Amino acid sequence: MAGCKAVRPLMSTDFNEAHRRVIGLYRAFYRYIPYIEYFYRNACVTDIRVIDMLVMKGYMEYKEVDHMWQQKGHVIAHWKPSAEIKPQDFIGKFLAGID
Amino acid sequence: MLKNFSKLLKCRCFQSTSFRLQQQQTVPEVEVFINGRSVTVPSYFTILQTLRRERVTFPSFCYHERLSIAGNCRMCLVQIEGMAKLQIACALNVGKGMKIRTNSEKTMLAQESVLEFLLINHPLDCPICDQGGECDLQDLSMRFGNDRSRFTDIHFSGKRAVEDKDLGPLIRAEMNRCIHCTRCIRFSSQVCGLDVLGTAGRGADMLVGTYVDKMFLSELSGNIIDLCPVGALTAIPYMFKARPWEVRKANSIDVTDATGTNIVVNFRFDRVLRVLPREHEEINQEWLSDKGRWAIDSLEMQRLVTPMQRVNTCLCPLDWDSALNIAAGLIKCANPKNIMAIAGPHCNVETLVAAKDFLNMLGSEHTYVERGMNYSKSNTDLKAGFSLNVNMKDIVKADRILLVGTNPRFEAPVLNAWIRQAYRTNECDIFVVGPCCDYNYHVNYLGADVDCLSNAASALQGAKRPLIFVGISQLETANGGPIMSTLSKIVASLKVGSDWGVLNIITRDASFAGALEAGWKPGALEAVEKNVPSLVLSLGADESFYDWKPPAGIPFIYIGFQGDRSSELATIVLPGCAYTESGGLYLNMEGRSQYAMPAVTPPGMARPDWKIIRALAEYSDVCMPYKNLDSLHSRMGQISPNFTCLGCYQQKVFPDLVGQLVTPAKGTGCIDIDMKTLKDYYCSDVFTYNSSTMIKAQKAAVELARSSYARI
Repeated sequence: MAGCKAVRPLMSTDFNEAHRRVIGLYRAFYRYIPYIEYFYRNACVTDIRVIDMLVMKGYMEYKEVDHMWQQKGHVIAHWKPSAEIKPQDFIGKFLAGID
Repeated sequence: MLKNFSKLLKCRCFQSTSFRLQQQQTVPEVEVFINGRSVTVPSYFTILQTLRRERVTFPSFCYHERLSIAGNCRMCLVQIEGMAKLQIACALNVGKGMKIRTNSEKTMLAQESVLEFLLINHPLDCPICDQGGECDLQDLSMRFGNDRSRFTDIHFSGKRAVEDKDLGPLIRAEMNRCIHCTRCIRFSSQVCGLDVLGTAGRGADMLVGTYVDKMFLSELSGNIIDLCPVGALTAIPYMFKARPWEVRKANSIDVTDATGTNIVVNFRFDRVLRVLPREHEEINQEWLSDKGRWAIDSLEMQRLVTPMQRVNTCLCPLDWDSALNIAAGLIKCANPKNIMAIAGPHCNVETLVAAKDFLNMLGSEHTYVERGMNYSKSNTDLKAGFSLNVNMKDIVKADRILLVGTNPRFEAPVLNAWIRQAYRTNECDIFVVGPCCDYNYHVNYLGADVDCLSNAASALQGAKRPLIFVGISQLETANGGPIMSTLSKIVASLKVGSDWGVLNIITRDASFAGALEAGWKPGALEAVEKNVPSLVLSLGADESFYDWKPPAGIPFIYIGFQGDRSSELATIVLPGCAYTESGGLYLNMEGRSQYAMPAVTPPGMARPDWKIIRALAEYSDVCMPYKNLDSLHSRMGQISPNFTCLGCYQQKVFPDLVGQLVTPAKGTGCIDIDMKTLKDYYCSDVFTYNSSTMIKAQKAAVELARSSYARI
């Protein structure tokens, strides 16, 4: 067995175990999807027309991401909005000179 | 009290019946035909009036509805069926069955020809003419003129050339452009009462000008610029600044006097360029005082643009957060009972209400306006005791007027225009108790002493509609009591209807009526002398601090827009807005409430005054129940319905009680007026002497008074 070196496994000891981990990751991604596309946020919607509209918008969004039409900023905006929130209270508005 | 109420009700009933009677006595009407269409108009109408009422577009230059009819421009030539020659519509009365042809070939040809004749001698300098875009000659040439020129100067003799006149530092007279409509001449002699302008020569050689080298200075002089249909008279401060189609407009209220003159603020790129009058039939007709028109350059002079704090002798700029923290700290440390607010002359009602609420919440009742008034036991409970008790437009009906210690010509120029109208059209006799002043009508001086008021009784006796005007500055002195009690006795002895308010006060400050309505008290100076305040809050008040300085150690917060005496003394300066920036509600001397729209944004870090007070309250841990204009306005509505019911004149109640509640006092007797002549008019307060235009005008007035032509 010259040229071969026995190494310590990273995590899995055999192919089956590694396959299980891959499936596990796949499932983790899968489980996270509802949060990305606001499935849970819109879970309370019961109006069928609204649901249909949200589904259509979801498909549009999906296609835009898939085709890389959406830029990095658009995608990241789902997790961390970059726009600063304008002050709503009187003093905040006064100090900022907004009105 | 009940008796008074029933009296009041009765007079209301009487008014409505008399109104109905008036309606029944209709003027005879005649039927005329405009291009075949039958219309019925009162028999006193002229043809041009008829056409205007029926909204027929019809050209004219010299005709102006507030001036006499001259009929010399010939622009309104019109064909009347059955008359051999064309007639001028402005001067011809309607007749029964008259057939007016405004679109016949003859009429149109005449209009075209008149314009052609005018343009022969009119320079083609529209591109450099300030009137361009709002020029009647341009407009009418486009609408009624010929589209090709027959004017070829084959002999190169040139157009008519006329020497320019020097009318002073405010009005530019480019006489080549003059079309001899004589509106300026009629205005100056009829409304201003100055026979400075006139014509010389006839026909093509006619010249409009001053006969001698004399400036045209009057408190209403700016209006001749609006009246001039061409660019012969234009405003020097607005020279070459903008075209009318570039400017944006905001309807506002003039705050340089207490008349509540309606104005339009023209602005562009966030700068106020000029102020023009806005028509209001009951207040200013369509005139505007020169101060209101030209003191606007003061808005960019000595402006406070950032919050500041006093460090030794200097004022150091701060940001709002720290400035408000420091100011709130001062307020929290001061004895809340003795915190005092003093309102200046330009405060709008929003600021006044917010400031008073703030002080009341802190536990202080010390809110004062600068001007004093202490002649009455009722203080300010009776509105009739500190306002004009007659609708301003009704002044023209007066047949005898007594002026006591006031010169309305400079204190309220547009009100004076009404007095002069009464003098001209109603043969009104005018009597004066007070020193000799420049009035623009003939007056009979009864003496300059309070005792001379006894002569006034006989002067006013027998008058059907007498009016008495008292200057507010008289009520500040100890003379106020004797004057008002004597005058009330005179009024009681006169036989006039109860709906006619005889005794009127001419106030001077735009904020005065609004402040008193909101519950502020007059007499700031007296109040600070009576008990020393623990903190002074000045809302644009400067005048008082020339006479009184807050003692060392007393914190002084200034909220205002102009750096003058107050900001010199202030511990903290919080930059506020001028009337063109914040707008707001103003009550004029009649008690009529009018809303001024904001035009431009406040400069730098300046904020609307009421918001500063609201923020200051929040920093001082006082919660005020409003945070936007809507909620503030509903709060104002709670205080007085006058603050939300805009525009209308309301009759004052219990005018007879004013005389009964006078505090007996012995005055010095001598009556004085601070604005006697024109040179005192231009720079009479802090706002106007910060205006360089007004200073130029004042210098010109001094020069004019010195010149040998002054008395011609």
